[in-house]
Amino acid sequence: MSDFSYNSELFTNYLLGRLPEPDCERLEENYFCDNEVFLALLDAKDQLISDYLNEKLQPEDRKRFEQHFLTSPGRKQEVEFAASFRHSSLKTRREPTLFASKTWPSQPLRTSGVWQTHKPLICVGVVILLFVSGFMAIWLRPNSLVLPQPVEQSTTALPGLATISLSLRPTSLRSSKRNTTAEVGSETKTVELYLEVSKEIFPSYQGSLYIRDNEKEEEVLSSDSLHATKSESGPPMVIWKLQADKLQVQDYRARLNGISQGSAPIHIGYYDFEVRPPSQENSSQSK
Amino acid sequence: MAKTPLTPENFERLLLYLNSNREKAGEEYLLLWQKMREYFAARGCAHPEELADETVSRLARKIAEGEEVRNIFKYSYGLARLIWMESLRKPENSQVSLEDAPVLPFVLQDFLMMKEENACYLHCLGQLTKEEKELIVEYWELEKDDKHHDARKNQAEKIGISPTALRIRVLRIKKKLKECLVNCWKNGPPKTK
Repeated sequence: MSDFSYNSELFTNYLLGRLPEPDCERLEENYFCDNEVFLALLDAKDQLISDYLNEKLQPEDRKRFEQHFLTSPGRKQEVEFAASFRHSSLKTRREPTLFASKTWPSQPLRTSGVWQTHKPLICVGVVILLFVSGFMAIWLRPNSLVLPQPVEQSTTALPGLATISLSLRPTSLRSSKRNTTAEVGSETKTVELYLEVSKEIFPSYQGSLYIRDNEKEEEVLSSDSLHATKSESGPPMVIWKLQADKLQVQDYRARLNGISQGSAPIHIGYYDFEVRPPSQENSSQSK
Repeated sequence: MAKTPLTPENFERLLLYLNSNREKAGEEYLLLWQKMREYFAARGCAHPEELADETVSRLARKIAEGEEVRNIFKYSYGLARLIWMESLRKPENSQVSLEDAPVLPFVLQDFLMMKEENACYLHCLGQLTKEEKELIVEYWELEKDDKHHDARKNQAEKIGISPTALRIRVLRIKKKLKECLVNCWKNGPPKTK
């Protein structure tokens, strides 16, 4: 095996497109001719993807990874697979039927040391927590109980706006300053969702609407013919117009997939919003 | 770029050229194809797998035509380089420019949240043999370690194979899973009765 074998820095620079051309060619010829060098390169690639997913890359490397490595559709898919495998394999560890013969380290064993060492502290903490949560439950109860009910029934006295527009970002990017509440009244016909998407625009998008935190996660509404519109000042937006009479006083989650011909739908993001009856202030404005 | 067909006869000859033992030839072929794919991906090609297929087809044809190939790996590299240069003439084969590069970290985060994809993952894992499942899951576990190289060596030793053979097995399983997952994500997981 040549001296390339475990020079992970060299491999990383190659994968991130930072290696000078003569070094690139030398490395390429080497990995074509030596399986061990090639397998070490694959190891370096796995490590790079793993570091990216674990957010261990330096900012410069991370930027380079996103701008060079992820721009190749094949590699982007590799990263998505890696992310999916890693996440799901954690779940699989908790699936005894699938891997009955395998003895994974169990969670209680790992936490038992912490329990033994900090037992008195944990007990005091639990007592305080119960106290505070009990108090909070009594204090907040009248406001926090929002039972699902049709908008029409709950808002007959308050007309609300005819069209309500919400500008939403994916949940992972959501800014706390954004308004994510649609105040739907008896006169409201449409709720327009402006869903922010990345610069990579798809020919069409598929939207699905779910009630948030519903264990069954049943689809309430869906649309297969959504399109992105470019904007000069901001990111592209997918506009999804929802009929207000199909909505209830609920917390919703919209899921958006990008659709391109001949490939599987690509998940773009989740967008959370809430539907509430109109407040007095907004209702009077609409009159 | 005109596609070169890979006939069964040419493919058989290529395998024979790689190794007289059919099983080993299959492993060599898989590695060679992966090398080509990596090469085209590193060179910024938008469709590295298609170009790897084209390189293999041309290589097999050259061998079938009786071209003298002293070192098939060096020859393959030269051929891949030639095909890469040919591909540069077609803009659709190039990678997205840096300025137009999509910034997609949130896609990955939300990707993890998809229930349906987990269902597909479990379905596709179910298509593997017990040994394959254990091997791949342990392999992923090691990927999370900072120094997984030594751990993989240990894993290979435990199974009684070389690290190279382990890698090849993993490549095969990943390929199998990938095909199953792409199909499942497209059509949804099969409904259980």
